[in-house]
Amino acid sequence: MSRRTLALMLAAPLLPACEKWRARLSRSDGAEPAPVVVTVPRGPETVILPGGVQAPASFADLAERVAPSVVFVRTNQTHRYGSRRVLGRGLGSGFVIDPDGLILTNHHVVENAARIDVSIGKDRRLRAQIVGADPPTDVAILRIEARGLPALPLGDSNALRVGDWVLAIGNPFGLANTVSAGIISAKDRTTEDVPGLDPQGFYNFLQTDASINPGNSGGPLLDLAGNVVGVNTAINVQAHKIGYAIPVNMVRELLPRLVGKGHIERAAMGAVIASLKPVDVARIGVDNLKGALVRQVSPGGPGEQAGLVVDDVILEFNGRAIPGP
Amino acid sequence: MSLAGVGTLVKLLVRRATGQIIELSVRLGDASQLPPLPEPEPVP
Repeated sequence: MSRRTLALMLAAPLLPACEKWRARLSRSDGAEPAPVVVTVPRGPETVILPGGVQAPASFADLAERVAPSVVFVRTNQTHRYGSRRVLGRGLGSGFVIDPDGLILTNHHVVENAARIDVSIGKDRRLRAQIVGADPPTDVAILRIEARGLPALPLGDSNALRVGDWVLAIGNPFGLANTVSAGIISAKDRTTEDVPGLDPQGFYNFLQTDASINPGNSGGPLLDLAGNVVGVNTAINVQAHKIGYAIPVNMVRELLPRLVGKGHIERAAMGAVIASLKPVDVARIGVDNLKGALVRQVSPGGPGEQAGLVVDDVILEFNGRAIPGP
Repeated sequence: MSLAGVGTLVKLLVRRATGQIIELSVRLGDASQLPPLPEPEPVP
Protein backbone atom coordinates (compact mmCIF):
# COMPACT_ATOMS: atom_id res chain seq x y z
CA MET A 1 0.00 0.00 0.00
CA SER A 2 1.47 3.32 -0.97
CA ARG A 3 1.96 6.14 1.49
CA ARG A 4 -0.54 8.25 -0.49
CA THR A 5 -3.15 5.51 -0.38
CA LEU A 6 -2.73 5.12 3.35
CA ALA A 7 -3.09 8.84 3.89
CA LEU A 8 -6.27 8.96 1.90
CA MET A 9 -7.73 6.01 3.79
CA LEU A 10 -7.12 7.79 7.04
CA ALA A 11 -8.36 11.11 5.84
CA ALA A 12 -11.55 9.98 4.25
CA PRO A 13 -13.53 9.18 7.41
CA LEU A 14 -12.26 12.37 9.01
CA LEU A 15 -13.93 14.94 6.81
CA PRO A 16 -16.75 15.75 9.23
CA ALA A 17 -14.19 16.24 11.96
CA CYS A 18 -12.18 18.56 9.71
CA GLU A 19 -15.24 20.73 9.26
CA LYS A 20 -15.70 20.83 13.03
CA TRP A 21 -12.05 21.82 13.46
CA ARG A 22 -12.38 24.59 10.88
CA ALA A 23 -15.38 25.91 12.76
CA ARG A 24 -13.40 26.02 15.98
CA LEU A 25 -10.49 27.71 14.26
CA SER A 26 -12.71 30.53 13.08
CA ARG A 27 -13.73 31.48 16.61
CA SER A 28 -12.94 35.08 17.34
CA ASP A 29 -12.05 34.67 21.00
CA GLY A 30 -8.45 33.75 20.07
CA ALA A 31 -8.52 30.59 22.15
CA GLU A 32 -6.32 27.74 20.96
CA PRO A 33 -8.55 25.26 19.14
CA ALA A 34 -8.64 21.96 20.93
CA PRO A 35 -7.47 18.92 18.94
CA VAL A 36 -10.32 16.83 17.63
CA VAL A 37 -10.02 13.14 18.32
CA VAL A 38 -11.74 10.93 15.82
CA THR A 39 -12.25 7.23 16.20
CA VAL A 40 -12.14 5.44 12.88
CA PRO A 41 -13.93 2.09 13.01
CA ARG A 42 -11.41 -0.74 12.68
CA GLY A 43 -8.66 1.79 12.06
CA PRO A 44 -6.22 4.00 13.96
CA GLU A 45 -7.35 7.01 15.89
CA THR A 46 -6.09 10.26 14.48
CA VAL A 47 -5.82 13.77 15.79
CA ILE A 48 -6.19 16.69 13.45
CA LEU A 49 -3.94 19.44 14.69
CA PRO A 50 -4.06 23.10 13.70
CA GLY A 51 -2.73 23.39 10.20
CA GLY A 52 -4.40 20.16 9.16
CA VAL A 53 -1.55 17.99 10.42
CA GLN A 54 -2.60 14.43 11.11
CA ALA A 55 -1.14 12.65 14.09
CA PRO A 56 -1.93 9.33 15.70
CA ALA A 57 -4.11 9.81 18.76
CA SER A 58 -2.15 7.08 20.50
CA PHE A 59 0.83 4.84 19.91
CA ALA A 60 -0.46 2.38 22.49
CA ASP A 61 -1.46 -0.42 20.12
CA LEU A 62 1.83 -0.23 18.28
CA ALA A 63 3.89 -0.05 21.47
CA GLU A 64 2.03 -3.02 22.92
CA ARG A 65 2.58 -5.03 19.75
CA VAL A 66 6.32 -4.42 19.38
CA ALA A 67 7.41 -4.27 23.03
CA PRO A 68 7.80 -8.06 23.46
CA SER A 69 10.45 -8.01 20.72
CA VAL A 70 12.61 -5.42 22.46
CA VAL A 71 15.23 -6.80 24.83
CA PHE A 72 17.31 -5.46 27.68
CA VAL A 73 21.04 -6.07 27.25
CA ARG A 74 23.24 -6.17 30.37
CA THR A 75 26.97 -6.63 30.15
CA ASN A 76 29.91 -7.21 32.43
CA GLN A 77 32.80 -5.49 30.78
CA THR A 78 36.52 -5.56 31.22
CA HIS A 79 38.56 -2.44 30.59
CA ARG A 80 42.33 -2.30 30.73
CA TYR A 81 44.13 0.80 31.90
CA GLY A 82 47.79 -0.02 31.52
CA SER A 83 48.41 -3.02 33.73
CA ARG A 84 45.16 -2.52 35.64
CA ARG A 85 42.00 -4.37 34.77
CA VAL A 86 38.76 -2.63 35.67
CA LEU A 87 35.43 -4.37 35.66
CA GLY A 88 32.35 -2.45 34.66
CA ARG A 89 28.72 -2.98 33.86
CA GLY A 90 26.81 -1.80 30.83
CA LEU A 91 23.18 -1.44 29.88
CA GLY A 92 21.68 -1.27 26.46
CA SER A 93 18.85 -2.37 24.26
CA GLY A 94 18.32 -4.72 21.37
CA PHE A 95 15.56 -6.41 19.45
CA VAL A 96 14.71 -9.82 18.06
CA ILE A 97 15.33 -10.17 14.32
CA ASP A 98 14.91 -13.93 14.08
CA PRO A 99 12.52 -16.19 16.00
CA ASP A 100 15.37 -18.64 16.59
CA GLY A 101 17.27 -16.32 18.87
CA LEU A 102 19.09 -13.65 16.86
CA ILE A 103 19.21 -10.23 18.51
CA LEU A 104 20.38 -7.03 16.86
CA THR A 105 22.10 -4.37 18.94
CA ASN A 106 24.96 -1.88 18.80
CA HIS A 107 28.56 -2.99 18.83
CA HIS A 108 29.35 -0.43 21.52
CA VAL A 109 26.75 -2.03 23.81
CA VAL A 110 28.60 -5.35 23.88
CA GLU A 111 32.17 -4.19 23.19
CA ASN A 112 34.69 -5.70 25.66
CA ALA A 113 31.89 -7.66 27.31
CA ALA A 114 33.03 -10.64 29.32
CA ARG A 115 29.42 -11.66 29.84
CA ILE A 116 26.21 -10.64 28.11
CA ASP A 117 22.73 -11.21 29.50
CA VAL A 118 19.56 -10.52 27.57
CA SER A 119 16.21 -10.02 29.26
CA ILE A 120 13.18 -10.68 27.13
CA GLY A 121 9.70 -10.30 28.45
CA LYS A 122 9.15 -9.77 32.14
CA ASP A 123 10.89 -12.75 33.64
CA ARG A 124 13.12 -14.31 31.01
CA ARG A 125 16.84 -13.69 31.29
CA LEU A 126 19.30 -15.57 29.08
CA ARG A 127 23.02 -15.60 28.40
CA ALA A 128 23.93 -14.27 24.97
CA GLN A 129 26.89 -14.81 22.68
CA ILE A 130 28.17 -12.46 20.02
CA VAL A 131 27.56 -13.94 16.57
CA GLY A 132 29.07 -11.06 14.66
CA ALA A 133 30.10 -7.45 15.07
CA ASP A 134 31.10 -4.59 12.84
CA PRO A 135 32.69 -1.69 14.74
CA PRO A 136 32.79 0.72 11.77
CA THR A 137 29.00 0.70 11.56
CA ASP A 138 28.41 -0.04 15.26
CA VAL A 139 26.28 -3.12 14.61
CA ALA A 140 26.39 -6.40 16.51
CA ILE A 141 24.38 -9.62 16.35
CA LEU A 142 23.79 -11.74 19.45
CA ARG A 143 22.38 -15.21 19.83
CA ILE A 144 20.33 -16.50 22.73
CA GLU A 145 19.21 -20.09 23.10
CA ALA A 146 15.50 -19.59 22.53
CA ARG A 147 12.95 -20.46 19.89
CA GLY A 148 9.69 -18.93 18.75
CA LEU A 149 10.64 -15.38 19.66
CA PRO A 150 8.61 -12.45 18.31
CA ALA A 151 10.86 -10.99 15.62
CA LEU A 152 10.42 -7.45 14.37
CA PRO A 153 10.16 -6.98 10.61
CA LEU A 154 12.80 -4.80 8.99
CA GLY A 155 11.35 -1.88 7.04
CA ASP A 156 12.70 0.39 4.35
CA SER A 157 14.68 3.34 5.68
CA ASN A 158 15.14 4.71 2.16
CA ALA A 159 11.39 5.26 1.97
CA LEU A 160 11.38 7.47 5.07
CA ARG A 161 10.72 11.15 4.61
CA VAL A 162 11.77 13.94 6.90
CA GLY A 163 8.74 14.54 9.11
CA ASP A 164 7.56 10.91 9.24
CA TRP A 165 6.48 9.68 12.66
CA VAL A 166 8.74 7.18 14.40
CA LEU A 167 8.74 5.38 17.74
CA ALA A 168 11.80 4.53 19.83
CA ILE A 169 11.73 1.70 22.35
CA GLY A 170 14.48 0.73 24.72
CA ASN A 171 15.83 0.86 28.24
CA PRO A 172 17.16 4.37 28.90
CA PHE A 173 18.97 4.51 32.24
CA GLY A 174 17.73 0.98 32.85
CA LEU A 175 14.07 1.95 32.60
CA ALA A 176 12.84 -1.10 30.74
CA ASN A 177 10.58 -0.83 27.71
CA THR A 178 10.48 2.94 27.61
CA VAL A 179 8.57 4.21 24.58
CA SER A 180 9.09 7.62 23.02
CA ALA A 181 7.73 9.13 19.84
CA GLY A 182 9.07 11.67 17.42
CA ILE A 183 9.71 12.29 13.78
CA ILE A 184 12.52 11.82 11.33
CA SER A 185 14.28 15.16 11.72
CA ALA A 186 16.87 14.62 8.99
CA LYS A 187 18.60 11.89 7.04
CA ASP A 188 22.13 11.07 5.91
CA ARG A 189 23.97 12.45 8.93
CA THR A 190 27.66 11.53 8.73
CA THR A 191 30.81 11.94 10.80
CA GLU A 192 30.96 15.53 9.60
CA ASP A 193 27.58 16.22 11.23
CA VAL A 194 27.95 14.17 14.41
CA PRO A 195 30.90 15.15 16.61
CA GLY A 196 32.74 12.47 18.53
CA LEU A 197 32.26 9.59 16.14
CA ASP A 198 35.09 7.40 14.95
CA PRO A 199 36.26 9.13 11.76
CA GLN A 200 37.07 5.71 10.30
CA GLY A 201 33.47 4.58 10.80
CA PHE A 202 30.75 4.34 8.19
CA TYR A 203 27.75 6.37 9.28
CA ASN A 204 24.68 7.48 7.44
CA PHE A 205 22.42 8.24 10.37
CA LEU A 206 18.76 9.04 10.56
CA GLN A 207 18.24 11.96 12.93
CA THR A 208 15.19 11.89 15.17
CA ASP A 209 13.66 13.91 17.97
CA ALA A 210 12.19 10.79 19.57
CA SER A 211 13.73 10.84 23.03
CA ILE A 212 16.89 8.72 23.09
CA ASN A 213 19.10 8.45 26.15
CA PRO A 214 21.94 6.26 27.41
CA GLY A 215 20.55 2.73 27.50
CA ASN A 216 18.51 3.20 24.33
CA SER A 217 21.51 2.13 22.26
CA GLY A 218 20.71 -0.88 20.13
CA GLY A 219 16.96 -0.46 20.43
CA PRO A 220 14.66 -0.15 17.44
CA LEU A 221 13.37 2.96 15.77
CA LEU A 222 10.04 1.96 14.25
CA ASP A 223 7.67 3.34 11.69
CA LEU A 224 3.95 3.39 12.44
CA ALA A 225 3.46 0.02 10.79
CA GLY A 226 5.79 -1.53 13.37
CA ASN A 227 8.70 -2.04 10.98
CA VAL A 228 12.21 -1.34 12.19
CA VAL A 229 13.61 1.59 10.23
CA GLY A 230 16.65 2.29 12.37
CA VAL A 231 18.84 1.20 15.27
CA ASN A 232 19.07 3.88 17.95
CA THR A 233 22.76 4.53 18.39
CA ALA A 234 23.87 7.99 19.40
CA ILE A 235 22.76 11.30 20.81
CA ASN A 236 24.09 14.81 20.89
CA VAL A 237 24.54 15.25 24.64
CA GLN A 238 24.67 19.02 24.35
CA ALA A 239 21.38 19.15 22.55
CA HIS A 240 17.80 18.43 23.36
CA LYS A 241 16.22 15.64 21.38
CA ILE A 242 18.86 15.14 18.73
CA GLY A 243 19.26 11.41 18.41
CA TYR A 244 20.78 9.28 15.70
CA ALA A 245 19.86 5.86 14.37
CA ILE A 246 21.58 3.57 11.91
CA PRO A 247 19.28 3.22 8.89
CA VAL A 248 17.98 -0.31 8.70
CA ASN A 249 18.79 -0.65 5.01
CA MET A 250 22.48 -0.40 5.89
CA VAL A 251 22.03 -3.06 8.56
CA ARG A 252 20.15 -5.34 6.17
CA GLU A 253 23.13 -5.35 3.79
CA LEU A 254 25.47 -6.40 6.59
CA LEU A 255 23.30 -9.07 8.20
CA PRO A 256 24.06 -12.09 5.96
CA ARG A 257 27.81 -11.54 6.24
CA LEU A 258 27.70 -10.79 9.96
CA VAL A 259 25.70 -13.91 10.70
CA GLY A 260 27.72 -16.04 8.27
CA LYS A 261 31.27 -14.85 8.89
CA GLY A 262 31.01 -12.87 12.11
CA HIS A 263 32.65 -9.81 10.65
CA ILE A 264 32.58 -7.53 7.62
CA GLU A 265 35.51 -7.61 5.27
CA ARG A 266 35.91 -4.43 3.27
CA ALA A 267 38.06 -4.26 0.19
CA ALA A 268 40.33 -1.27 -0.30
CA MET A 269 43.14 -0.22 -2.58
CA GLY A 270 44.86 1.89 0.04
CA ALA A 271 44.38 5.35 -1.39
CA VAL A 272 42.36 8.41 -0.56
CA ILE A 273 40.71 9.93 -3.57
CA ALA A 274 38.81 13.17 -4.03
CA SER A 275 36.99 15.08 -6.71
CA LEU A 276 39.12 17.35 -8.84
CA LYS A 277 38.74 21.03 -8.09
CA PRO A 278 39.39 23.96 -10.40
CA VAL A 279 42.59 24.69 -8.47
CA ASP A 280 43.92 21.28 -9.55
CA VAL A 281 43.58 22.10 -13.24
CA ALA A 282 46.64 24.29 -13.36
CA ARG A 283 48.51 22.55 -10.55
CA ILE A 284 48.65 19.11 -12.15
CA GLY A 285 48.04 20.19 -15.72
CA VAL A 286 44.65 18.62 -16.46
CA ASP A 287 42.18 20.28 -18.80
CA ASN A 288 38.94 19.10 -17.19
CA LEU A 289 37.55 17.88 -13.87
CA LYS A 290 36.75 14.31 -14.90
CA GLY A 291 38.14 11.49 -12.82
CA ALA A 292 39.21 11.00 -9.20
CA LEU A 293 42.33 12.67 -7.84
CA VAL A 294 44.60 10.52 -5.68
CA ARG A 295 45.26 12.59 -2.54
CA GLN A 296 47.04 9.97 -0.42
CA VAL A 297 48.50 6.52 -0.92
CA SER A 298 48.90 4.07 1.93
CA PRO A 299 52.57 3.03 2.23
CA GLY A 300 52.93 -0.60 1.24
CA GLY A 301 49.25 -0.85 0.37
CA PRO A 302 47.82 -2.39 -2.79
CA GLY A 303 47.66 0.93 -4.63
CA GLU A 304 51.30 1.78 -3.98
CA GLN A 305 52.37 -1.74 -4.90
CA ALA A 306 50.60 -1.33 -8.23
CA GLY A 307 52.36 1.99 -8.89
CA LEU A 308 49.66 4.48 -7.87
CA VAL A 309 51.10 7.81 -6.71
CA VAL A 310 49.73 11.06 -5.29
CA ASP A 311 48.28 13.40 -7.96
CA ASP A 312 47.40 10.56 -10.31
CA VAL A 313 43.94 11.01 -11.76
CA ILE A 314 41.93 7.79 -12.01
CA LEU A 315 39.93 8.10 -15.21
CA GLU A 316 38.38 4.62 -15.27
CA PHE A 317 37.74 1.89 -12.70
CA ASN A 318 37.33 -1.54 -14.28
CA GLY A 319 36.41 0.05 -17.59
CA ARG A 320 33.86 2.43 -16.10
CA ALA A 321 34.58 6.11 -16.62
CA ILE A 322 34.66 8.20 -13.45
CA PRO A 323 32.68 11.37 -14.00
CA GLY A 324 33.62 14.78 -12.71
CA PRO A 325 31.98 16.50 -9.73
CA MET B 1 25.76 -3.06 -8.33
CA SER B 2 28.15 -5.74 -7.14
CA LEU B 3 31.07 -4.60 -5.04
CA ALA B 4 34.63 -5.80 -5.56
CA GLY B 5 35.75 -7.99 -2.69
CA VAL B 6 39.09 -8.49 -1.00
CA GLY B 7 41.55 -10.12 -3.41
CA THR B 8 39.78 -8.83 -6.52
CA LEU B 9 42.03 -7.52 -9.27
CA VAL B 10 40.76 -4.19 -10.57
CA LYS B 11 42.05 -2.23 -13.53
CA LEU B 12 42.55 1.51 -13.31
CA LEU B 13 43.08 3.87 -16.19
CA VAL B 14 45.26 6.59 -14.73
CA ARG B 15 46.47 9.95 -15.94
CA ARG B 16 49.85 10.86 -14.50
CA ALA B 17 50.71 14.44 -13.59
CA THR B 18 53.11 14.27 -16.54
CA GLY B 19 50.15 13.78 -18.86
CA GLN B 20 51.01 10.13 -19.53
CA ILE B 21 48.04 7.75 -19.47
CA ILE B 22 48.71 4.28 -18.10
CA GLU B 23 46.78 1.24 -16.93
CA LEU B 24 47.39 -0.14 -13.45
CA SER B 25 46.18 -3.41 -11.97
CA VAL B 26 45.44 -3.28 -8.25
CA ARG B 27 44.64 -6.33 -6.14
CA LEU B 28 42.30 -5.05 -3.44
CA GLY B 29 43.33 -5.66 0.15
CA ASP B 30 41.45 -5.96 3.43
CA ALA B 31 40.80 -2.41 4.62
CA SER B 32 41.27 -3.43 8.25
CA GLN B 33 44.77 -4.73 7.52
CA LEU B 34 46.10 -1.73 5.60
CA PRO B 35 48.82 0.42 7.12
CA PRO B 36 47.67 3.86 8.24
CA LEU B 37 47.59 6.65 5.74
CA PRO B 38 50.08 9.50 6.01
CA GLU B 39 48.86 12.93 6.95
CA PRO B 40 47.39 14.63 3.89
CA GLU B 41 49.46 17.24 2.10
CA PRO B 42 47.89 20.68 2.32
CA VAL B 43 46.16 21.60 -0.90
CA PRO B 44 47.64 24.80 -2.30
